[in-house]
Amino acid sequence: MPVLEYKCPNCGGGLELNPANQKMKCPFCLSEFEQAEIERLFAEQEKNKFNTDGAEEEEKARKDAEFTGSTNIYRCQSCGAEIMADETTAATFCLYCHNPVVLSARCSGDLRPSRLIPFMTTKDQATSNYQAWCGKKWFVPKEFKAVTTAEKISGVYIPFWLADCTVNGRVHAEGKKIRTWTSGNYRYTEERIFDVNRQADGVFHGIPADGSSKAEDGLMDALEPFDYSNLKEFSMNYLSGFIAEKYDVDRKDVFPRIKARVDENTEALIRNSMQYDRVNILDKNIVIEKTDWEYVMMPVWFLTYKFNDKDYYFAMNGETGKVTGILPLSKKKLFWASCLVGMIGFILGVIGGGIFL
Amino acid sequence: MMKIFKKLSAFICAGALACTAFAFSAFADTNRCIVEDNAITESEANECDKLLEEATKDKGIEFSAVFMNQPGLTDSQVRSLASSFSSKLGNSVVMIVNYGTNYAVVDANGKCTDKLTNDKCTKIFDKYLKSELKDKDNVGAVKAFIKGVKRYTAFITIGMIICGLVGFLIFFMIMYFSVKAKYKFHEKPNTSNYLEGGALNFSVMEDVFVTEHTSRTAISSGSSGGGGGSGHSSGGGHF
Repeated sequence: MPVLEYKCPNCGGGLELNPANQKMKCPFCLSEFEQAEIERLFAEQEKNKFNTDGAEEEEKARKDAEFTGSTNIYRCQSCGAEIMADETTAATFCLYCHNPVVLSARCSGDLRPSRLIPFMTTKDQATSNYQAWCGKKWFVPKEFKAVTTAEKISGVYIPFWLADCTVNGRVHAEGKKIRTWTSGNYRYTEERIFDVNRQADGVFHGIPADGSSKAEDGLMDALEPFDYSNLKEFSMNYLSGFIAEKYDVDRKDVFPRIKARVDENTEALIRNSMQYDRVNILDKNIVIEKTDWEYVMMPVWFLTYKFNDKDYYFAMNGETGKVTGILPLSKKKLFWASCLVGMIGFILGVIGGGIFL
Repeated sequence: MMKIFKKLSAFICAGALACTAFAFSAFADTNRCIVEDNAITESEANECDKLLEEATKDKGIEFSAVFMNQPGLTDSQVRSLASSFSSKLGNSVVMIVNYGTNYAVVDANGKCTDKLTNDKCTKIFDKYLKSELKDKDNVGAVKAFIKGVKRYTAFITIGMIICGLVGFLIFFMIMYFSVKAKYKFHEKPNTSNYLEGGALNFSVMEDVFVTEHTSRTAISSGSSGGGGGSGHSSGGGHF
């Protein structure tokens, strides 16, 4: 399988995308280049290669494809080391020379996303946001807050399906308006009952659902919203310097999640239009009439942490900086803190007992 | 202290004389245990005296016991005798046992009344004294009297400790489960963000009035009242 590496024209080091200014940066000689400039240079190099030893390269690529198709092992073009990647990895790093590597075949054809939002936050921002977020949590184990853990945060492009849905909803309900008043020694309650019918339609644009089985659905949902105005035409350049995943959950498998969200939201909006004290839904029918899909990639700073044989996650929206996570809880810390609070309860109980008994 | 008890003996004697014309003939070597008409033996009186003296030193409350054998004394006379006796002693608890009518009373005075209410004095009699007096175990009765007083005047009682433990459990559980719930992941995305125009287009909005009914409930009213108290408490009964 062909492996893509954007090399620095000055020193030959692997170029990485700098989220701060969206330029390609060489971490070795610190040169920075416009993406268009690098793409032009890269295209020229490829053309020259093809002119000189095209037949030889083609044969090598065919053999590589046969080999890598079954083993998922790639060769780093910088140091020659073998890179192992699982079936969904689309961009990664060489473990030995740490050069960024894009597995271009995993982002081409049907697997090519139409657009992506590039990383707009840096690793330093992700690390400091992580530490600020953890710092507020008392009952998280110390190791989870450690700087060494924070340094393991990786920038990952997560595959997302964006669904445009046209929805039509009909709800039949019984509405009650209740009025109470007091007269003499009696309290009166008046109930006015209404037969309520609502029908509405609407269009949802770009409801996101991650297409990666590795990413926790709830965690990815919590990173919303993404600002779609920053969506760019897909280019391999953006993947350089980050990890990227190709989708392994098809849109038909994602559809139930999208439908559940649309149904729930449509029902809630229709229900909100019923201005009653009590509403009892008698019948409802919410239908998604049309769905259009787009395959995109979204930037996420990600950290996985193992604690007591269970995986916990931290994630930060690589565009907006919104943080979320599934946190480990130190039961030891919680137990002692609860004992301390319990002691306050004990003292209050003794005092209360002394007063009332 | 000896003088006070001798004075008290004299006071009780006078009181008793006024009521029933009886006189105390307390054993010469007893101070806190006052005995009339050989209601208990001398050795018992000595032992009771020691116990009462120890309890006084231990608790800082004047412990005293009076044993008499006056069939002519009514219960209310015994109670008023106990009350007068304890009032003279200050911060004190007094037990008076009248074998003449098989009646006993526990009386508290001064600071003790904070904890030894009428109810607690009755409880001391019922739970501690009654069975001992029925068995004519006078030393046992004094021991039970001291035990009862100590139990109800303790800085922390069993009831208070139980209340404390309940408080501990409640606070512990609230803390433990609220933190656990807080650390549970439950963020939900807002799907309305993706809705065109931020709202649905309603094509049908029908509200048809069906029926109406009114119900009536009587308002209940309640009242409460209270009582007062005094700086003196006692409780007792027949055994």
